[in-house]
Amino acid sequence: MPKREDIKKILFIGSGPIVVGQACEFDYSGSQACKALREDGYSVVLVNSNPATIMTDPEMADITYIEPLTVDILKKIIEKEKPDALLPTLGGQVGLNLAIFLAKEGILKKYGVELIGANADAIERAETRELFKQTMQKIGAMVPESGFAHSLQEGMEIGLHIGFPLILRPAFTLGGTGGGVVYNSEELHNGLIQAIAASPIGEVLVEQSVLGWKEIEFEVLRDSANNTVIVTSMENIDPMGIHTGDSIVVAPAQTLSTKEYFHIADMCRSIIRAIGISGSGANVQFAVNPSNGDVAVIEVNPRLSRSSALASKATGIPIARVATKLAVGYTLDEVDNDITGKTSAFFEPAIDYCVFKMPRFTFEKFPAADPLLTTSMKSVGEVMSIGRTFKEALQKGIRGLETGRAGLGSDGKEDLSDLEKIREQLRVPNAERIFYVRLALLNHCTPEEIHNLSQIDPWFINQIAEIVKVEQTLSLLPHNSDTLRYAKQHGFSDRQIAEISGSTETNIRLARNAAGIRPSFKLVDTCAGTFEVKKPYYYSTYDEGDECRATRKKKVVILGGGPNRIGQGIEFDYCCVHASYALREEGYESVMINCNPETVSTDYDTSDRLYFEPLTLEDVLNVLERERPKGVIIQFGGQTPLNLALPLQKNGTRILGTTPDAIDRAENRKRFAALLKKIGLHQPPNGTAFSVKEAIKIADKISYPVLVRPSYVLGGRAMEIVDNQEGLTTFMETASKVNPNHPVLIDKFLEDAKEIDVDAISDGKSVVVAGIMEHIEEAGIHSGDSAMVLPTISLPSKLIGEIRDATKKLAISLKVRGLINIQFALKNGTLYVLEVNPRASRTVPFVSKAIGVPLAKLATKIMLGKTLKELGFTKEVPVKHFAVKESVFPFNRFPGVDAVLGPEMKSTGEVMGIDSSFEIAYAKSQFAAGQTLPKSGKIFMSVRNKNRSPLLPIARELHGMGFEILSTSGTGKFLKKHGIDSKIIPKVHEGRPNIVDYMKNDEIALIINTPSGSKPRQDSVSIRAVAVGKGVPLVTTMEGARATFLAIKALRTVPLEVKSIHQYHREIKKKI
Amino acid sequence: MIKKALLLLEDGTCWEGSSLGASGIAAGTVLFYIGMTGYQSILTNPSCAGYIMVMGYPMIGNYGINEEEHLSEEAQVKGCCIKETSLFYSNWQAKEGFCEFAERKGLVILNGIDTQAIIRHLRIYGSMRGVIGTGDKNRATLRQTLLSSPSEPPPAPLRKVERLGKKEAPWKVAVIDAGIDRQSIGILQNHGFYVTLFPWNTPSSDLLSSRPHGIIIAGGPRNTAMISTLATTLNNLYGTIPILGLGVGFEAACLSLGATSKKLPAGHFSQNQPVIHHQSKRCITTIQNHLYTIEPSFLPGVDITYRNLNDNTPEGIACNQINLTALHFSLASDTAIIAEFMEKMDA
Repeated sequence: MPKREDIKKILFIGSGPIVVGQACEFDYSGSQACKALREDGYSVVLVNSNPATIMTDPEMADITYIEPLTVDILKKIIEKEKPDALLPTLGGQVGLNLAIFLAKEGILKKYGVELIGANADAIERAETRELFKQTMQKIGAMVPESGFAHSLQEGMEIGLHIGFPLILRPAFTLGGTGGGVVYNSEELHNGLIQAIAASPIGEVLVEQSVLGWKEIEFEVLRDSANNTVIVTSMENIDPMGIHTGDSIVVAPAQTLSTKEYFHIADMCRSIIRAIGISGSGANVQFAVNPSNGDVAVIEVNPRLSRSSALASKATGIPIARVATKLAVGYTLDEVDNDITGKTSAFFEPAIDYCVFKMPRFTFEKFPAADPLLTTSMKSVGEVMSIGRTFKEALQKGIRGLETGRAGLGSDGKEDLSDLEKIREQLRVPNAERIFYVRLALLNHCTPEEIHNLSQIDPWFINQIAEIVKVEQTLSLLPHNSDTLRYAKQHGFSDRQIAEISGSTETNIRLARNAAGIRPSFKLVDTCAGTFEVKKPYYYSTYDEGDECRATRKKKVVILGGGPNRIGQGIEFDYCCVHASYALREEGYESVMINCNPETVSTDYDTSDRLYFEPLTLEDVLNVLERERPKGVIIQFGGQTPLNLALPLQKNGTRILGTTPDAIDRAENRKRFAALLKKIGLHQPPNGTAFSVKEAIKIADKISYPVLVRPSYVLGGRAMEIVDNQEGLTTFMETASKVNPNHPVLIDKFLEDAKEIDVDAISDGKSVVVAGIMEHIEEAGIHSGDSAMVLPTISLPSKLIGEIRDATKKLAISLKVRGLINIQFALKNGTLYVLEVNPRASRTVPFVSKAIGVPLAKLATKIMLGKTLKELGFTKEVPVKHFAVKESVFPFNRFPGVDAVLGPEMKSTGEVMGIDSSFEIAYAKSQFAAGQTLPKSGKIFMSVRNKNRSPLLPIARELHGMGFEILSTSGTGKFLKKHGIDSKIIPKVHEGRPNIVDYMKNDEIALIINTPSGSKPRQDSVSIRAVAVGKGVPLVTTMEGARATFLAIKALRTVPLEVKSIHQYHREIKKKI
Repeated sequence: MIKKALLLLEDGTCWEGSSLGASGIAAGTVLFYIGMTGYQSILTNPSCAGYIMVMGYPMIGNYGINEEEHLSEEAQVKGCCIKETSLFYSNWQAKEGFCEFAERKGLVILNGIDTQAIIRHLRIYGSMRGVIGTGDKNRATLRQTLLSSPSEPPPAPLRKVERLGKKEAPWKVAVIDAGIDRQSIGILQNHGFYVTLFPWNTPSSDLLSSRPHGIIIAGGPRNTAMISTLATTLNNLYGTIPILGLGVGFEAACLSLGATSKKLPAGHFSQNQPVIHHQSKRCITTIQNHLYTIEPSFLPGVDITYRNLNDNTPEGIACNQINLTALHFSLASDTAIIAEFMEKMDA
């Protein structure tokens, strides 16, 4: 069937901010969908609150709204745009849920909007556990024994009837939030409370656990004519019981027999037919009993998912593109396979390599979090690796994670012979378990024992045993070209080989090159070499045949950002993608190296050539030696490529744009201080300490409080504000572990200072300020976690002038060619320079969207030799609207972690609120971040002593608006003394009903709770924990409280309006 | 000590690796199989008899060898080339390891080579004859063996007449065994057919004497003598009874109707051959094991029912006048094949 002609305008809902369980994969699927729709002549209306996405670029859709993803806002947009159809299947769970709510509230019907890709009934059948179970039973598919609970009592009855262990699955949640495995009635009790609260419809599936079964996933596409294609199978190395997002996954499935494979594939076809998914992609999860082959259906995602992105990158099939085409009526045979360029999308890909997905965790950011892996996802990112064999791909995947590991062990990072600990770590699922399999083997545990402890399939353990065997052989044999080749073919990195043989990475590389042992590059081509294909991408391997088609045209290599983690996320991928676009616009070939399968940068058509490789020196050099580019762009991918700048330069690579030396000048404390002195700028008093003694001396000199951190870190890793010597000593003892090669930096902490972020662009001669952003929160909160507003709202123009001058001076002195980001602090009228980053910052996409200028593209063109004048960007863009960036936190994933902000970055993503008034822009940013600001109700206030006076005017006005104020005794007495009535309620340990009871009874509309000092009392920790768990809006800083108050005040009088980003940009252009 | 093995192709290209499975020399046409599972089926499939199979998926042997996936008792393929043979297997159904099986059944394995490079070579230069030799076989000897090896596989062995199922079954079919596999026979039995298996040289009168409701002709690989005998048999049968041709049965039917055969550059050997049904536009992913296709120069009245979505070659024909359906893919590909044939037998 050809495409539908009865629909013209299609609404697409994105997935909002990056959170645990929903990362860049929906930017990838969304932007592919937009492209696919527009090439067929459809008009696309896009809504997403996340400015750091490619999909919200003005070029991607006809009309783009960067607005909160709420039913109210969507209603307004539908009213205004009157789309014919809504495509709900490519915007993650957020997009899907919104579509369902819009359908349920009758809004779609009212405006005649048709759901395409999946109808409401199909979504219900897949997502409502009860209906799902019935549907599966109807087609004879086994589902684990289970029951649905809507209350604690109901849940307890079901659970005790089925027996332990049990899995709790809240309905309609993302990445299993609020779910988990319970082993006894006490855990069931607590688990149910959490799970019911986590489900937006208060429904929980209490399910028989199939712990230890194989976890298998199939990715399926089905068109409206009932043609079905199995894109790939995937097998989790970790058996059932660990969320697939947290599992190490291998594709294709390795331990299924043909019969099992075909049986499951047939089940897939009947399942998605029964559910009614038609014109879309879907993901089906199965549990397979390893002892008899019984298959149970666990879950169906009636939409594109994280696994789809992985399946897509693993096979080369652009699933999002195909699914979109199917949604508008095409059948699979009518859609082209863009990779081969000659076959159709009705094709089940064959692959001739092995793919790994490794999850990236950030437990180091949340020391209080439970590192146990369960059915609730905890990882924040992932890498994909490709090798010819399981062993090669596994080792590449591990080094791609950038956790300091050079592969599966033998990298000098561990030496553990404590068998008890090893056994424990095998038994309890955790992020490091794969390493313990190796350690267990080294300690002569049998594969059987390892299997019994971990339930990991014996085949996988045997593969790891083969890696260990190679490691042991290497340590015994003399090194010659045969052993080197042998090691390389088993995925060993030069670093590992160096470690085993007591050599250095450089020497191994030299020896290897001298022996002619270089990687060959092979193709991801969807067809295992059956056809000559048009747009393949590459992976390296140590095998004979090479299919690299590197050209001799002028080209530039872009280094991507690797796995998402806190401090380095989609913002950097956005910049890399723009770099690629800009290169192609300028007539260069763009070559991308990255290993993050969620991203747009690893999409098959973003660059001229894509290398799916880990971003280590070895792997990058291998590509560079092959491609021989004119230069390499390292300033867009965040810290990952930046760390490679100097070593690459040493190896003769030309770094484009700002020099690594200039980057060093900005990062090296001594050189930086000299620079500031030379150009007459201030910085907070500071010093560098190599020992505890030195640190104490410095701190005494500059006086407490001081900000301490190890040098060369990302996202404020291990950064702390300490108030006294005791705190300092404790920090030094833990920090020295962080990075022994680098000293600890100590700065005077500017209490209550105002922070300002500036992004600017320079061609080495002239500088244009792109955006000056004022932080909402006071100094001391990591800039990646602060809310900020562009333009500034409280700075006098004289000071803004000062900021501009300082920015220009810094950019010129550092000879910046490209982007620069500067953080300033303002205290008592003095401007301090806190930090200078002569590279793309996290705020580049935000500023680009706010001012309507593609900064990363301009910066790329400057690196190629263009001047700002030639590019037509010579003046700062004046904006009349306000754009607020707000951060989004993963606290709900880590029960036990205190939800307060500090100098260490904790947020996973961001949203943007944009409006003609600051207050409404801020309100929008809060809604977009999931903080539903109230217009009435009860507000709980409990603030530290020093915040009490600033709280007064806020409390007074809120009270005047009719809000009821609840407070703890200290705050309450202070308010009372100043004539504000509040209801004083007991603290958690003081009696009941206390604030936690109020929250649990859904009586609290907002919480203003600032932590008291660096070691907050347990009491307020638990208040914040419950607030996060229950989703009560929570404000933990005084400045945040003030902005929130202003927003609430405005919301009571001004209705929320929506305006497209195109309209904002048009208004800017009119003014210029 | 690792024993060496090598693959020598007709054009002189050579790959060296190690030897697993049986020792000796295996010569035949070199083809490739890109399925990620299914190694056991392809190697025991009578349709692949006499070939050397290059395995596209790099890791082979992971789930061992089980009872159910045998398409015949023997290793039909003479030799195979593998990137990395798994000596360890893990699957509840497995009865033995892949290497033990290969050794037991005389299957020669060239292991530890870049199979993808060979596949690329075959894709570019077309399939050709080759020889695998294990140990320190002299290259000249190997070349001699290669050059004296037949350019096509032998005809399917002549079987004894065999009857399966219950006599009172609603459908009786006569099956001409031109190398039919065990799975296909199993499917017929599962549908409650009373199946009589005949050797491929059975004359049409003998086939009809058992008074079947329909005739099925299935198997492979293509052998010139066998296929022309089959074509003659078919010509004698046309118009008397519903006929279903599968695999080489498709090729024989086409030949009998005036089509000529054409060698595909590298054949269709995989579980993922996409075909589209012309009339309904229904697409199915099929299992195929054939090296030849046909030039569609038919007599009037013959419809091409299926085409391959990758290379547009005909994959199915129908001629209602003579009650013939012929498909170039395995019976296991689609349950509708049997259903349609039953309708015809009912009519």
